[in-house]
Amino acid sequence: MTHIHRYAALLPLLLPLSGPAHAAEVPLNPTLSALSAEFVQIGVPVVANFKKISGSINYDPAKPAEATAHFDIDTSSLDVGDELYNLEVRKKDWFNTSQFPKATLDATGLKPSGSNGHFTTTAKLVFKGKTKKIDIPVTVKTDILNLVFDGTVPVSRKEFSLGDPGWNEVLEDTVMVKFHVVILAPR
Amino acid sequence: MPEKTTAVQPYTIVACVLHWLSAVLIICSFALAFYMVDLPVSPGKVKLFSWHKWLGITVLGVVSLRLLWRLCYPPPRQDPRVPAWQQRIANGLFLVFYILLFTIPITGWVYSSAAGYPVVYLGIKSLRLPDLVGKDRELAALLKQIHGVANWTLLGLVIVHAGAALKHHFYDRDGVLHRMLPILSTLEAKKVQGRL
Repeated sequence: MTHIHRYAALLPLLLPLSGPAHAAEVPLNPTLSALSAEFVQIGVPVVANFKKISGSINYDPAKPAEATAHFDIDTSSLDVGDELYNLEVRKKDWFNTSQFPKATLDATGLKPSGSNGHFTTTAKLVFKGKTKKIDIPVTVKTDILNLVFDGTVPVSRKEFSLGDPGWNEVLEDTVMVKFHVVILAPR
Repeated sequence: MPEKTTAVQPYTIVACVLHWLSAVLIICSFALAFYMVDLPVSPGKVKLFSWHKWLGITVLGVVSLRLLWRLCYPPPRQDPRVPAWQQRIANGLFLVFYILLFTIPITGWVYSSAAGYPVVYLGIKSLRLPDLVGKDRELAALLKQIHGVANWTLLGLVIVHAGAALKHHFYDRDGVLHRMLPILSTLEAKKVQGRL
């Protein structure tokens, strides 16, 4: 059964609701969406959330290759669980939020990978003035109202000059960035 | 006048070792915490916090062993010359001590979990302690306070405890300190024999 058929079956349910037009740019739901970074500090895994993210996805289930997405991440919104450390993360050696208040991610195309609903997208991540191309695994799920995009991508602190070298002794280089993006499903 | 130390029965060697081991660990952990809390954020501070947590979990282990040992091998009877009211106070203090000795490391552990930082003993990932609570900022703030108050209370009690032990040893000279430090009896015996 293709996605299209599934939607057709649900159409009567969705008709009374004002959903976005088919395959248009749909803004992410800020309440349901989440972006977190998991870092490991002397063996201790710590999950920190970015409290402010925005963006939109243009996705037609029939044409995943043509999907596009754009996200803005407020770099000063990372909450590592303690105000003192939140202030530290905003400093020059880390996110340098006064100079780089925003990180952006632009993704194009969803290539099917493996089983149904699993894709890989190529994205351009701009963070702290550096631009990197990264491949991101994405799973796409649908519920009655929403489309849900999930994935985890490893990011190297070194590649984005995050934290002065003194921190390497207590912090692992790889930070696992986990996203859960929810948009209203197209009608 | 009878020999003053004859009525004293010492604790078992295991109980003595566990007592002094927990004393040393607690003093180190307390001093470390006192030094580290107000340090500015740095990799060094993160390291000290980890060491403090490892020390605290070690204290929890040693204190658990102590309690288990105490239940299997009850402490020797108090010196009958010590007045009953003093014995009651001493026993009450021991109970408060044990309550604090468990409360402090457990609140530290749960506080760490509530703050979103699981406790990983010695930094070995397979020795990660379970999170007894989820991430909860308000709970973390409350547990931090309890952890602090319990520690300052313990410090006060340790001063009273050590002060009382020294008073018994140097002023009353009743051998109470020998119960937890049997080596003193050996040293005194040697002194009497003129070998020291």
